[in-house]
Amino acid sequence: MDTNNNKSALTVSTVKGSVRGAAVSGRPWKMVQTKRNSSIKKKSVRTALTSLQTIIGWANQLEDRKQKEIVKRMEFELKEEKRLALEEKKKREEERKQRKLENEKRAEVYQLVSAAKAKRMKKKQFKNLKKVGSDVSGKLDTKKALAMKALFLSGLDRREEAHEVIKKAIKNDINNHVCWHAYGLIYRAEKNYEEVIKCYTHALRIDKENLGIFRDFASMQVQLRNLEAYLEASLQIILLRPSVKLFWLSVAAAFHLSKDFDGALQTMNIYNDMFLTNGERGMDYENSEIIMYHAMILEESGDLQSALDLLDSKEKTILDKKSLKETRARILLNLGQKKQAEIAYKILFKSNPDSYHALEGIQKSKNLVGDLNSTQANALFELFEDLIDQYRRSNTLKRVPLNFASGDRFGRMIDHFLRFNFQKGVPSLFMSLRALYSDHAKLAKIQDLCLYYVENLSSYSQFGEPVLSNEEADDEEDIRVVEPPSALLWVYYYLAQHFDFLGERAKALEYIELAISHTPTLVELFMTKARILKHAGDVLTASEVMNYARNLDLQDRCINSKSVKYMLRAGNIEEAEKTIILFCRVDAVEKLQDLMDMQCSWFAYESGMAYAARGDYGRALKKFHQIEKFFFDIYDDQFDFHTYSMRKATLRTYIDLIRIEDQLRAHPYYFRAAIEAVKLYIYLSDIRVVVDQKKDNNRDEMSEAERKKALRKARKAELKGSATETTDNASKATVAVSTVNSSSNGAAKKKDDDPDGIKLLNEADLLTESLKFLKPLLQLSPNRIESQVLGASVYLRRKNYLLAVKALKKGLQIDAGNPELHKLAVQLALQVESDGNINEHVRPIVLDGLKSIISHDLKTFNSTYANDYAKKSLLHSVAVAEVSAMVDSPSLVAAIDALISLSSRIFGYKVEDAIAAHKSLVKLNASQAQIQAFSAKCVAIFPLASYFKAQ
Amino acid sequence: MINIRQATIEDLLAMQNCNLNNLPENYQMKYYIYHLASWPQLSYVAEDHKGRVVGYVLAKMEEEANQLPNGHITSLSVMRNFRRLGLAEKLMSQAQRAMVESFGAKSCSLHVRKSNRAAISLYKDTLKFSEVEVEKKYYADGEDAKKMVLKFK
Repeated sequence: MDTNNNKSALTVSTVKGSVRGAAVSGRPWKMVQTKRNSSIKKKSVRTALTSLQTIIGWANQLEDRKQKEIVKRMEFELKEEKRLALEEKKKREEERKQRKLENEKRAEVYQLVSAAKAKRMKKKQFKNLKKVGSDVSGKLDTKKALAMKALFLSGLDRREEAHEVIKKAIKNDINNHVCWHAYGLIYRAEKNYEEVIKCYTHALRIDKENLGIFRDFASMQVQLRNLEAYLEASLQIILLRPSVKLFWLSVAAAFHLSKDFDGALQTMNIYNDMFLTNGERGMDYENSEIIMYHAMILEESGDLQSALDLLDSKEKTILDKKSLKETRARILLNLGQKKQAEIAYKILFKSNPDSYHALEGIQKSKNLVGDLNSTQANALFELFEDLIDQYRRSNTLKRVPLNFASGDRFGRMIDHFLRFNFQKGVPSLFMSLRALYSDHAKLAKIQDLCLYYVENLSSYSQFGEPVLSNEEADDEEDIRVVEPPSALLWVYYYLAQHFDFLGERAKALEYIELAISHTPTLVELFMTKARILKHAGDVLTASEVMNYARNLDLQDRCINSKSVKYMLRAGNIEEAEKTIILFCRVDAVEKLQDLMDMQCSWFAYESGMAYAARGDYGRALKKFHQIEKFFFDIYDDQFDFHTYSMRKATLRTYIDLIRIEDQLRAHPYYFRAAIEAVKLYIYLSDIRVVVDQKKDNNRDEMSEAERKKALRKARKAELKGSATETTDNASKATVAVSTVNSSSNGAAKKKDDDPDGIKLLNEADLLTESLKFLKPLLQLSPNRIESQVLGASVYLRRKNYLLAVKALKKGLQIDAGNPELHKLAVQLALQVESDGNINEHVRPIVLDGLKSIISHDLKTFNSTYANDYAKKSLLHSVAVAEVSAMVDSPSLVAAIDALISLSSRIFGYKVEDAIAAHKSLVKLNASQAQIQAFSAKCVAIFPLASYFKAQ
Repeated sequence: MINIRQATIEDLLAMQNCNLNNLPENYQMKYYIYHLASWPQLSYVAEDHKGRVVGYVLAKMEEEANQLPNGHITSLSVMRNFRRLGLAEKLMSQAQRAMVESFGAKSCSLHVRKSNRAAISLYKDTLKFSEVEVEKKYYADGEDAKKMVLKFK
């Protein structure tokens, strides 16, 4: 039917087309003429012309319109172009916003996931975090999601899985900077900084303008002290974002740390121009810090005058008034402007009259330091008197003049000083005066006065002799003043410490007993009694007395700590552990672990010593390694401050922090632990050598089975004393495991897989292990004799002869007569002689080095040493005997006899030395008669020492 | 011979040791570093003639927005053997002066164990702090803390 319809339509059109004259448009009215032709008015030419004109006009108009249209279209196109551009821009902005948001979210997660934070997170927080994480992951593509997952795993301390996931992500797309960044963060959580740098380098190769990665990268470089790389990274960051203040501060610090003062100062100038000129409100503290930092760089660069000018011109903006005054005073003094400096130091002293530093500054400004002639001395004491009038409460001003006074002046001053302190009852009096004891005259004067006080106080309750009658007194001062009864107590207390210091233990005990019977409840008295007993060599009784003192004041942690320390010295580790946890947090699951978390290094050290003394070497090593871990963590602590300090603008503290961290392992708490650790490693290694030799000797005569058995036996013997795991410890381990299970935050402490240090003991090469402790000693404490002695000992055993000679030489520079070095020099000479495997290039150098130490043969070397040093101390004398045994055995008996006949004074008052000497005599196979003679002498000198009582 | 001076980074290990010996509230090293990195002016030490730290004050500013700047004493301790020299008071006065000079502090606050009578008397009588409130179970072992405040003039 459709075709029909089409047909008919066609027909119609054909019909229309056939009518002639009909308008094609099909408008019928055009075909109807209603007028005759003649009646139709003809248009005139004019009109035609007009029409033509009109038409032309119209055409023109049309043309115009066309033109306009073109313009319009062009305009439109232009507009459209603009619009599109705008849209594009908007879109880009939108995208950027989106990216920023994403980045921020990601950053949030990164931060949250950091191991330290995860550890602190509670279960609930962690759940929230997971949710955030899944949101973010949902919007990110799979690679990034994988990276996120890896970060989570790392945060949960599931390291292996984290590595697996991130490696997979990187394998998928090796050119994805997010993955590399994440990989870096995972390594960072593991503190594997070298690897972090590699990952970040990869990431930055892909995305050269990623600020976040750049900043992390910069922090990492300064953490590893790649100062050049740090500077470079800081400059890159500035190029990316020159408008951010703290980035400029990083640049200044980077220059400063690499000692490029010009760079640092130029950076500070730019900083000042950009940010300091229009002082923002609320930035007062920050600006003040920046100015002080600027002055610090100027001062360190040696440009003191500019530093001073800066401080003076900005005086009002500097809020840190104390630093301002201190820096000004120091600079003035160093510039030689002494008058000004004196004023500056006096101002400083005014705000802190207990500042020894300020007082010293005043003295230096007035040239009143060092050896003084009598005019200078008078001027100095005038100065002191002047100041005392102004600052009556200053302890410093009371004490410092005693260092400079002598003769009668000292007599008068010390008399006054002692009386004042005895009246007041100051427990630290002895500690305050001890530094004066290097001067024999002062020591004698103090002793005389104290004994005089005791006499008068016990008879008349007065320090001085009584005036015969009141009427004879002209002065009010001479009227009899009755001292408080406690004055006598404090004099007794002082004398006890005084005689203890002099090594006269019996007298010391006598006085402390007098004090105790005077006031039997004073904790300090028992603490001192315990200390005297410890010095006398009776650590057991000392510990009992200290514990008695503890019971007098159970609220005080100080006496608790002291008591614990004495228990450990007495070898009572179990009791010590029970006692110290009395002050640990009640909510801590494992209280001893809590102490470790708090980095309590004194307890770790004393425990280590106690375990070593007991022969439990595994646990002893464990404790020393714990201390190493504390210091590792403290070094690591600086990481966050690479950025934090810039934000806070506390650049001076930051520079200080970096410098201290560089020297961290020179700290006494590390030093003493490292010394003991290395000694222990040497000892254990020597034992192992002996055991191995025995094995070798027996091997030939043994069958295979027998040999294996013997090997096991030897190993066991080696571990004796440490392999026995007490039930106590087993239960501890279970506690640790259950903690791991119960805490679902996943960051729980990992179970210690070697609580008794067996693994440490079984290391293949103990001497190599010791280097972990030895290297920081040699590097950071090279001027301590202990470092060089241990260096020589270890390198000698490791056959690093060149290093051994170096340590010996350096050690002898520090202490030419050191008994340990004397022995080591001879040992080294003997070993080099017998060692056929020394490299032929090395041998002559070593021999050359040795020649500079030992110029003649070894016998002469020892006898020269004996002449020079044997009478210096017990240990020097022991060294002579020990070397005799090595190189000149016929002279051994004489050497031991000489040692025994040393005068009692030279025997010293250090009981530890006497014990060491005794042990050495036994080792040297001294005759029974000799050992007995030695012991008898020791008993006479150290009657309380439990070691000799037991002999 | 006791010297009182501003604490530096180098003192922090000794301060931590002093704290561990004397007080039940202990902190990791990073917390000490944080104090000095944020408010280097506020912490002081007392050292003996050999430079050993025998007392310290560790102080900070409270960082609550929209409040007047207030200082806070995190920890204060003097070794037992060095008591009766007025060291605590001298340390505190230096710290307080710095709070005002560097940070414009209007007051200083601290927490003390309710049972620590000796300390309370030091703060109240010698240092003129006043007790403002008791914070229940402030300490880990469940003991209450007294919050004490000193308003600066």
